[in-house]
Amino acid sequence: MRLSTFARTILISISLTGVLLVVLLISLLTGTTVTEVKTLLTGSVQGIDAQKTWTIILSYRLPRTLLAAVAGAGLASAGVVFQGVLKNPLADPYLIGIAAGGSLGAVVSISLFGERWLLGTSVCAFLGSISAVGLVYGLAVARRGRGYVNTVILAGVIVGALMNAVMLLILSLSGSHEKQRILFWLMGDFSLASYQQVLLAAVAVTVGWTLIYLNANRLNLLIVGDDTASHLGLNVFRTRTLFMLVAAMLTGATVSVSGTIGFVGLVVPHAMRLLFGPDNRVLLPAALLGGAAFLAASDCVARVVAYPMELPVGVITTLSGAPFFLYLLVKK
Amino acid sequence: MKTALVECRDVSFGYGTRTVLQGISLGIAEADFVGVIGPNGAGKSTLIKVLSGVLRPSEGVVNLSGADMRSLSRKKVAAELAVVQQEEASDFSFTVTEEVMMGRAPHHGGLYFEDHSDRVIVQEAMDKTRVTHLAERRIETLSGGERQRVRIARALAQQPKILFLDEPTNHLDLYAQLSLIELMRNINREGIAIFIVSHDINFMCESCAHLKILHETSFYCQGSPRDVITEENLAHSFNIKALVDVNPITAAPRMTPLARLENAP
Repeated sequence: MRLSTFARTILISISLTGVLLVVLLISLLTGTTVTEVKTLLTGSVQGIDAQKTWTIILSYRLPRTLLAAVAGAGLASAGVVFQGVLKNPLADPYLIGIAAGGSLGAVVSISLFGERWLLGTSVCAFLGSISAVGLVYGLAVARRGRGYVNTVILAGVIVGALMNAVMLLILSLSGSHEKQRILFWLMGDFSLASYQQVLLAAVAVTVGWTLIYLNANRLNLLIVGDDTASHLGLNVFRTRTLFMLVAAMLTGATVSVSGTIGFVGLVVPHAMRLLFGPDNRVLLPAALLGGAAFLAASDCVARVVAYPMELPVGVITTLSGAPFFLYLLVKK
Repeated sequence: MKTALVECRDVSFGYGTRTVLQGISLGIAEADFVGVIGPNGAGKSTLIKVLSGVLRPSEGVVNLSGADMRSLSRKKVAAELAVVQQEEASDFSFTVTEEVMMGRAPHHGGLYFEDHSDRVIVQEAMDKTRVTHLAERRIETLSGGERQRVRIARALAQQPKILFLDEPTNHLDLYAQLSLIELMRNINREGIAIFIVSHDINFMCESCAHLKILHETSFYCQGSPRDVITEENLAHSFNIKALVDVNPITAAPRMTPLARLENAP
């Protein structure tokens, strides 16, 4: 007999939670020797060494691992929504200028405040993302009606290009130290993660995802087609607006704490859809957990693969995501 | 006298300055079987959109079960009125069961998991439309006729009092057309009113009890198929010379197109 959707949702969520927990544990312990782990667990050796290991795990590895997981969860969930709302399984949360807006905000903050106000980068990046979406959405609403989805995509690409140009202008005028910081930010970076950021991002992702999930059936109607959705009782314009704004907020929140990390929001939703089908009641929890596991794992690899040097996590996600994606395209 | 499910009086609609519908009045009551025919561009699809509340008339009022359509949410409308439209392309592929289950949306909130009664209703709809054997197939692997039966099943799962069909014979072979007529008759026999728009005259003569011709924004004539489908009416509204005789088996009027008329009357 075929399992009900509810049972499938629960089963898939439990399995992916297991995967995520394993990834988090591996990430926390990577770089720690087996003896050290034994020592920590048994408490047989006290003193400075044990304390040092605990410090590394708690104040360095734990916040960055958690931040990577939260950002991955947010990006993948936003990806599911944008693919649905823009009715294109190849859409990406960065497609409509959110990343460019966030980058511009971050770059402005880095060049104005430098390292005197680290959280300022996040705040400005979030404001940048939200204003980019506001601009794109305003343009699309001004021309509401048929062709609405295309207007959003076109306006998004143009607004994104514009903001990128301004961002590059500021980048080329800044000093070499700022350039370094900006470049790291642009490639995606968790090395400066703090519990403060984890908390902010976790709140944004929890609120945003819950709002979206409470409308999962409506998202299903929307991806079948506007007219069908309307005949099945959906207020299409209002629903799409809600989804767009919440997903934009989710993306903006993740961009603000992690910089722009490519491919998570594109590949994870797509892979989950291939595995579990297009039903958003199953897909949204799967993308949340799968995205968290994927980005936490990528961050762990970025940390250790070229030790003692650290690679930008965006390089890892793109290097692993792009070939997978090409494979999907060819297979289709 | 039966009460009207969908009723409108002196309704007009236009896109910008172009008038598409003007002075349209009609009433569809329980168990009615009404069809509107008309040439391409006569405003048939717009009529469906106005009567189902997707488009608001620029003049006049559309009522659904006595209530002004403008005061009803989309959800309330969808719980009484289902529309089987022409296919919409989608890049996301659901299974047949998932697709039919979406017909339950008007009876639920933003997030729900189907319960036993939803499953019973969906199963019944799939049995009636003979798509049960396709339950686990993905939509894009089906034929045009099968896909249309899935859309009708989804509409039935809404448990509507009235069913609209927009050009239902498009892309259907004759076998699928005949099973469509049979299916619509069975649905109608259960008391669900049916309202079809189409340009397929012979199909409409065989299936509808009442026909209206939509010609240049208004109804040109209406009545039983035998009254409406005459050589004069077809010449006037479709601009063709046609032979009209009677189907010896079903006694419905039958039209054979002969030539187009050069000068519009």
